[in-house]
Amino acid sequence: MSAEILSKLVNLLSFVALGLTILLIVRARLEGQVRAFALQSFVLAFLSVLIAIYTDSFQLFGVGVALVIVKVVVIPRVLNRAVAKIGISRVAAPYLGTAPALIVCVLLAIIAFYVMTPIASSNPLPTADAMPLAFAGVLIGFFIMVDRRRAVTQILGFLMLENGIFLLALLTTYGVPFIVEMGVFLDVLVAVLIMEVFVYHIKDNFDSIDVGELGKLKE
Amino acid sequence: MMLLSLLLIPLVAAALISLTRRRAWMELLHTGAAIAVLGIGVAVAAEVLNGDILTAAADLLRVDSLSAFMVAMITFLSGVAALYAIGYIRAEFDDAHLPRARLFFSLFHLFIFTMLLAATTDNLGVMWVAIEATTLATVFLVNLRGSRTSLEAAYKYLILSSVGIALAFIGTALVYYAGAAKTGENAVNWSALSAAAASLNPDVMRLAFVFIVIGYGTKAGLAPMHTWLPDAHSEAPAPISALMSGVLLNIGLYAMLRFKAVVDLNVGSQFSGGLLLGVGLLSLAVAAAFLVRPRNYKRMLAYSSVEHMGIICLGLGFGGYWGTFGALFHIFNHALSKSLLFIVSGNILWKYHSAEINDVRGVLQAAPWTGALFLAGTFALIGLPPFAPFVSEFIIFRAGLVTYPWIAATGVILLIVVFGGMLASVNRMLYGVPPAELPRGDGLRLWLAPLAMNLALLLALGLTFPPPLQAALERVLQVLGV
Amino acid sequence: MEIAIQFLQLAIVMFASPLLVGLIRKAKARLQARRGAPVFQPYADIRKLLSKETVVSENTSWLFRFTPYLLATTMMLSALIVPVLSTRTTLGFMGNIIALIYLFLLGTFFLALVGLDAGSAFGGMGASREVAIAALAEPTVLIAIFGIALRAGTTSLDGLITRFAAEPLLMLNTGHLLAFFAFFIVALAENGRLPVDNPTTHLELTMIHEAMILEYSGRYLALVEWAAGMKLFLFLTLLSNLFFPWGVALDNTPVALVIALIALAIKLVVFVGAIALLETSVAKLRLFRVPELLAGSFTIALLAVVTAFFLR
Repeated sequence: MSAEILSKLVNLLSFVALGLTILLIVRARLEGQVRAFALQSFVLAFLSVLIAIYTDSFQLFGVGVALVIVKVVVIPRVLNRAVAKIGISRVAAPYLGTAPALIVCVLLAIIAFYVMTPIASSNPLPTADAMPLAFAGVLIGFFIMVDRRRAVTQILGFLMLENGIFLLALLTTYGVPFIVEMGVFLDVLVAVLIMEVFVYHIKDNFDSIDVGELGKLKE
Repeated sequence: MMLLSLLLIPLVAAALISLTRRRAWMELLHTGAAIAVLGIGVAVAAEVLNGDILTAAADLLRVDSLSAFMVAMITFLSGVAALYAIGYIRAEFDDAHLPRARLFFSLFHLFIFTMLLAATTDNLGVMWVAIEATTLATVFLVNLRGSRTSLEAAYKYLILSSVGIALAFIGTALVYYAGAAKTGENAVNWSALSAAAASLNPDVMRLAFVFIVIGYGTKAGLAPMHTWLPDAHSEAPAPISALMSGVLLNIGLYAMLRFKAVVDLNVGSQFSGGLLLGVGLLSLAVAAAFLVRPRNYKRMLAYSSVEHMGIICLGLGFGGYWGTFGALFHIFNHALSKSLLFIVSGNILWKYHSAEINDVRGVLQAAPWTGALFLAGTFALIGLPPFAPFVSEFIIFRAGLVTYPWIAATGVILLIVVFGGMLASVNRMLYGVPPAELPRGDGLRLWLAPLAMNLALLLALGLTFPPPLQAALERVLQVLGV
Repeated sequence: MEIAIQFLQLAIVMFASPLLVGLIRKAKARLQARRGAPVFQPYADIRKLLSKETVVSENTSWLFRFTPYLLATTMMLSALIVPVLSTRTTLGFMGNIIALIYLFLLGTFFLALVGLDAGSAFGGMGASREVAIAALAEPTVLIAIFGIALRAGTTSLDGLITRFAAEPLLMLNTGHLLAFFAFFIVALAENGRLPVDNPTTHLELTMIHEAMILEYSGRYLALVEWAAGMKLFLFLTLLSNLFFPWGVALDNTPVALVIALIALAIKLVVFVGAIALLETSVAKLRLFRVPELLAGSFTIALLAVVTAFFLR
């Protein structure tokens, strides 16, 4: 595989990953959102395996496999379980409508390009071109967490933000060392499990998973 | 070996406690582990601060004097909090709520473990993992009471800290990228990075440090990322509040310091200093705005933590020998006085069943020991001589008046605002006539005894500055490259 | 020679467009397990309409009679400048993509006027909806065009195709693909296809395009329908030749032209299949959801420009 083809493929797949993040804004149903996350994680795993083949890195291949296990299989299951348990809950309106939110996403993407391009252009790796896309994914994940009030959507926003960071590290330096990557996966997994418990608590206490209801603690 | 046992004891203790069924066993394990960790921690710190560097586990762990400084603080304060926690938990959770007590003790040690790991590892990635793990270990502790407000606080804490720290990972990855060009896989180790610091790509390092300040700044409770802090710190049980405000915030600062040392060698201290001055002053201003007239004393203490983190950042931002020296000293002083106050506030809450300042009157009459400790702690915290925080604040602003007079002057004005606001609030709480139906006498008096150590240290360091301590702090400054 | 090819292209657009419409209908019918009308049915429809009497409402002005001719003329003019088979034609120098889009929009504009002209309630409703959609779609088209023009360094259709034909890894280029998707969604909206408009409906409340031409009959209707078919044909040709330029004749040898014709046929058949599949599987969007779809395609187009600007 030549560096040019790798570069193009990486660009394309990074874009697919970014598009899936944006899909979180468009899709209203939680099942669809969870599926979008699983698909995105799969794209990332595919990317890491691709880069593993290109660089003959066995560790990166292991990271890809772990990614599939944790983020394609386990976490979507946990989330689906949560969605099923919550049942059809009152839909919390986002602060911004779909169309303005999409425009915000584009603006964030432009900001990401503005911030990351200087660094990407000094990076000699063939994957570096797509760095701004990964960073845009981080920013949009962050935006989703701020804009969407449903707890499960917030968790998904967090997970996609996390995915964006993983992608960014992957593109910048072919990923951080193996032990760190595994530690991060463990943290994310535990974080999601804890968040799931909190979703149940919130549902029990407030009879909705609208985190906008959480507003008691003021000055 | 000593290093490994330092980490393993709390981890094993957490696991064992989660298996116990009887309170006596829990308390025994808890106390034993806390005292053992304290002993080993002090031994490690003493050895390193005398000039050694300890490594273990194939260089995954490396304790230099900066780490040792943190280890000393973590183990000392967690020891004090652990002793108080026994009494506090006995009072809070009777035998019908034993699972909650078990959860508390178990997570308490897990929390200690994550903090110690963060402070002792050389691997910046592992440090990130450990700091994220501190959030995960404490989130259930914040929600231990299970009320709606504590649920809200814990959820906010979990989400905001996780997001913040995720941004810090970008910074870590960028630093690793900058370093990997020079030193390969080793670049994730701080020691390798700081050795190669001068030759790294400065653009990358600058951007990385911005992410680090946002990310670990969230963890350190710096404005404008501080919003989770007052909620979480005021809702958590008192011993945990004490550790979160006293130690955990400093772990965030510690992580920033590690990166700052590398970035400063690379692009000079102007850049990082400017950023820290900005967030420091903002934190101070945000806290001062709240502290003019606080309504809830636990939130008051929490905002005061934001304020002191701001002061420390100002000290680091002023830079130079004295600025950094003052900041490090202030980290220590703030930790001592804030954990003392949070623990005492737990006593007040236990007695008055309210965290509202308006509901608390005449503590000095109702519970003289508690009141006296609270008063002394407040004096120390707001920077009255002869307590040590006065000295460290003086050093910081003295250094600032030379380099950045306007910022230092603004900081001092804000400090005076805080001084007035907090003193007035504490005045209302301590004096006056306590409610008639309130029984007289201190609760948990015996368990407050360890706090005498905090107070003694605060007083002693305010009056003298022993040469061994000075030498130790100088070693820490060397690590920071000042 | 070049003039001959020019007119060959025009002839293809003029005479093959009803076939394209017929093909889509047939494919849809088959996907829905119906037998469907024969693929040449649109020709029969046009012949039937041409032989019928034309009824014109007395409330209408000259616009009503003028617009069908204008529609057909603009489409034929467009057919002259779109590189259907070859990039080397006499009028090729006029083939500016921005000019082309505005030729299309000119037709839309007059159609909307006509919808209002007859003074019927449905016509006005259709016109207002059509204009709303056009107003949303137009910036998207332009931005998608900027996206590809930035990469090629020209807005000339010939130049774009020549430039892209030289690039083998086109399918892997993100900016290009994004522009394609944005353009495709807009093409659906502009041609009144699902999920924006339903070309087969005559349910008053949901009509857009059909509502505007409700007053037409006889040869006027034949012209309008025929022009709509040509517009669809041109849009699909543009999509296939601009974004998948393989097979387009770069010089005017007979062999290249034959290959170009076959390639075009294959690409159009693929598009026919895609549209039929899409129209069978999705429902028409409620009208107030349409802006969301177009905002989505606008987002995609904007991202296309951003990537074209920053990524190689």
